[in-house]
Amino acid sequence: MTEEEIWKKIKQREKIMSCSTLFSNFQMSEYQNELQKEHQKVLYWETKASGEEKIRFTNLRNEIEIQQMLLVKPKQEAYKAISNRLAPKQTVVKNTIMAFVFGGIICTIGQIFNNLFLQGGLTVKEAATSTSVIMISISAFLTGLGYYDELGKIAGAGTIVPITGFANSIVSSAMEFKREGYIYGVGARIFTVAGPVIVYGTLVSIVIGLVYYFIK
Amino acid sequence: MAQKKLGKQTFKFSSNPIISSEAAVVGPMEGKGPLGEKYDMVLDNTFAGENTWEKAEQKMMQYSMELALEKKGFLPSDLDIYLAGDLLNQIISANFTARFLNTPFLGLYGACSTLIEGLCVAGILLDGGFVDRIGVSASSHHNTAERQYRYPTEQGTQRPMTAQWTVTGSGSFVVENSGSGVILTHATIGKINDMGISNANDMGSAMAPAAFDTIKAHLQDTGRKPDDYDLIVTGDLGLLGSNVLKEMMRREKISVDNITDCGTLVYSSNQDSHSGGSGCGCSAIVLSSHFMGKLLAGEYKKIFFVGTGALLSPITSFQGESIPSIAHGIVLEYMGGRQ
Amino acid sequence: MELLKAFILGGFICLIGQLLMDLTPFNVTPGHILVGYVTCGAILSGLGLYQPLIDWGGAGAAIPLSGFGHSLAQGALEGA
Repeated sequence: MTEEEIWKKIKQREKIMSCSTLFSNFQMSEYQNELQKEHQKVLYWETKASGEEKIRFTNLRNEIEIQQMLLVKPKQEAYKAISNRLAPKQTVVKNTIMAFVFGGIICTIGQIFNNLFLQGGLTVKEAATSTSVIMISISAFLTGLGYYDELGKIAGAGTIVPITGFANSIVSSAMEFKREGYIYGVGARIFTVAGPVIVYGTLVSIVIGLVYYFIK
Repeated sequence: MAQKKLGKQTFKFSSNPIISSEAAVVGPMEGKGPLGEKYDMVLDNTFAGENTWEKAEQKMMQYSMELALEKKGFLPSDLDIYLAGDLLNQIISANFTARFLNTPFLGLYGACSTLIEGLCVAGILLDGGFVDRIGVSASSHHNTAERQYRYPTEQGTQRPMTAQWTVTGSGSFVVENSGSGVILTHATIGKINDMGISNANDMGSAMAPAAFDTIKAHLQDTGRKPDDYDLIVTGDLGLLGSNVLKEMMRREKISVDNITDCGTLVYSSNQDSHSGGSGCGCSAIVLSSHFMGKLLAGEYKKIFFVGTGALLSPITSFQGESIPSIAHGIVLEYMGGRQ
Repeated sequence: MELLKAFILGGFICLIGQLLMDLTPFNVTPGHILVGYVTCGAILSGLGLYQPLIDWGGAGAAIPLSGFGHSLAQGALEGA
């Protein structure tokens, strides 16, 4: 096998692969064996070469690796089609209705607390903050008792999207990782799930603040 | 020229490695399942009196091995080698059980195919005349798997319908080179298959190609047909994976009448496991309690048992990698004797 | 009446979340969707489009995570 011969084979296979998509198992393993032989040869030459020659071999090796990957793609696509066809369907309609109902109930409960706080004499801002605190506390309590995940199974987004879901993820992480101690367990991993929300929420707000500052 | 090799991937044992005894220790949910009566021990809760689930899983594996030894009056020191594996990082359940047993130890990792991998290696070591008696265990625990691979257990997430429930259970076996009962006749070592499935919530689809590949290789290597077996049992393809496997076999005109799957047997439909059970423990507890019982009662004479494993890690999932899978197969035959 | 508006708006915001969870491919996880909610809430807040939702629906807009993004953004705007 020489370098030119290998390039020729690659071009040949490229043509065949662009015309027909599915090969027989026999043809596929033939090509895979050819590619493997070529890859090993070129890799070996690459280690022994230097300078411009080495770059040539590196390019050739990359070409072979690309072809190795492309070779199995059609078979994988065909397989995924079978799997998708046989997969059980998500109960989208039921899930959506449940999410609407439970999400609505949670927000309504929040509204009730808000009104109670306003009646109690708090300002609008104080009432809003207190409502959040109460909702988070309830959610933490339910998580601690082990009921929140049962609720989440049925309600889906209805319990994940509200701020109660956020609290649930922090409390459940804290409970989970307590077994690894307070520093490396709770301390390090308490924000495993909630972290991205905090990071990106804060980041976007900072950007908004800066933009506003410069526009002003 | 290797004399005991058939075709490309199968070994034929010339002596008769025998499964002398077996035991299964399971969690409460499995105890409430269809096979609940058949397990040796059902735990009251998933903690088994320990303060972490990891310790509970190790205890389960240890107890299952101790029970298997006790049934034949053996002690750990009677084992020449211990083969074990589980799903956790660095196979800690196996390591810590081996610490307790204090026997020469080879740790194995084949994800959910670990038990069958263990039986294959046990058969090879016994048939090769290297040892007289081997202990084989595999375990998994729903909560330890969730902590490692997915979310904290109290988090309110929704699992898709293709997801499987990791079995909390451990199965152990004592395999010897003489005796009577159920023998191991052939072992087919699998190759890794990857059809580009990256959804960690659909491991059935990821593992089905490996099962198909190993079954085909086995039939080719041995010259047998599916009907030569009373049953071909897969480890934990679950509902979807089993359907995909049957579809692949139908397309190649291989009969699918006698195929079943441990993942679909371990839970009833009202236990909300979605696509069925999975995990190293799945095949271990179903083989040790259910299928060994059927073989010893003479209801089945010959079974081809294919353990299937999805070889992903939490990191590869995040990095968008697909899930490579493997399947190992072992032939179990009832030769009369032990009732 | 207030309670009904909170119910409808809150339920609707969660409904969108459920559709996103069910109809997107598996690698769009709830984590991605929640980050989306908080950033959208912050951006809409910065554009002054979220306050009207709060005025209409009260807790229905404040309780979901987009409401949290709104508070974060409002805090940043006040400081700027």
